[in-house]
Amino acid sequence: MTESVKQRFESLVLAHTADLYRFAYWLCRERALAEDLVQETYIRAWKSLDNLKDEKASKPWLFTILRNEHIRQFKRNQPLLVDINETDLDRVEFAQMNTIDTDNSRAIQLHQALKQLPEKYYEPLVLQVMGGFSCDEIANQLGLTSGAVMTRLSRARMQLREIVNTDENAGLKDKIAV
Amino acid sequence: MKCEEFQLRCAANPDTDDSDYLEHMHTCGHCANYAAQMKAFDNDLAAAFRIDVPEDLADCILERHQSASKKPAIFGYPLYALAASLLLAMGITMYVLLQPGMLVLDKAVIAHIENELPHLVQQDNVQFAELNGIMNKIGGTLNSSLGKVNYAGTCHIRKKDAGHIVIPGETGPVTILIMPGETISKRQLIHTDQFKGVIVPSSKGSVAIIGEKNEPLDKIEDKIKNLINWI
Repeated sequence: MTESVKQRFESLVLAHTADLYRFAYWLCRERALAEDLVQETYIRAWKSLDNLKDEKASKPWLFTILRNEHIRQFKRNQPLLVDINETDLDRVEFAQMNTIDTDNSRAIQLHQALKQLPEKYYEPLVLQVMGGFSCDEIANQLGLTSGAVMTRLSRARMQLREIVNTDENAGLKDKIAV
Repeated sequence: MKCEEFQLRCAANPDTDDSDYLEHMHTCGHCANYAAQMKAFDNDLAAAFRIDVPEDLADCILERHQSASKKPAIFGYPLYALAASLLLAMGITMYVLLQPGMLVLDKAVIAHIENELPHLVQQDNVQFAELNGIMNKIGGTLNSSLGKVNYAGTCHIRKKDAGHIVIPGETGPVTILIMPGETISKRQLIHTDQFKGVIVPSSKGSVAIIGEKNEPLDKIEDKIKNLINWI
């Protein structure tokens, strides 16, 4: 391993680990699995580092590797059982994940709403909001047209707002009933 | 641009700065309001996505990578030493490959308990029949009572079905995770700042027993090993 290749790899790890971990978490929603996915992504990236010709393309390149790895490892192994009392667990899970703002009820509400979003809308949204990718870049990663990505993104936001508003209205009704 | 198109583009990307989009926003109060609402919603969404990242993750990755990529110099080595090294490497690889997930199961177990802390303080007084109902769901039974059970339910660990039981220990609650999908070849010990535990192989999968730091777990381990029957 030459020093320059080592340095190149190190700068990739230092620059993109946080974003990759967050992307991995939002794909699999388990911290331990997310760490494994990031680890595996870098192993694969190391093996094919020669394929990365332009450093500016490193982020979408790594995200694509991680996404493929997620599909390969976990998608075929969906859980058969659903956790009891997910609301409480989400609250605990979110509080532990986010030590900066543990009482962010809006974020918890959105966290739960995201779970109800169909995957075809969910993934482009994660890539855009969390990954900071443009519609064209998302289209490249998902093998879609830009138009299709735009449609999915707009439907994603509209559905999310609808879910959140429905929840808020239900909460308001509960409060009135009490 | 029509309002309908503006709103679709806004929902697709509230940060759009195309000139025709901005022009419409400046001339239509209704759409300007829609864009402001969508932008505020997007800020909330971005905050919701911004989860904490383990502080040492990048360092751990680099450390593991460096230790994995340290290769001995081939030249100057006798051929038999090289062959022995290759055989050893193959043996280690097979050992790891034949035990799926062994390297991270302990981490997943602790993460699961930490994610489900409320179960540690539950006092459901679960009856034997109810406990066996839970066991049946993961393909097993208990052949006699486990004693007092404060919580029992099904869960998933590393996307695989598992049974989650909490019993009172000597120093605090003890969590028993029955994981039919997690096969290990030998007993593994777990030590963290807060917990102490063990993962033991079972005839189907494995069982984790995790208590507080000073909890004696041997008796519980012996008891649980003899109680589980797999269907």
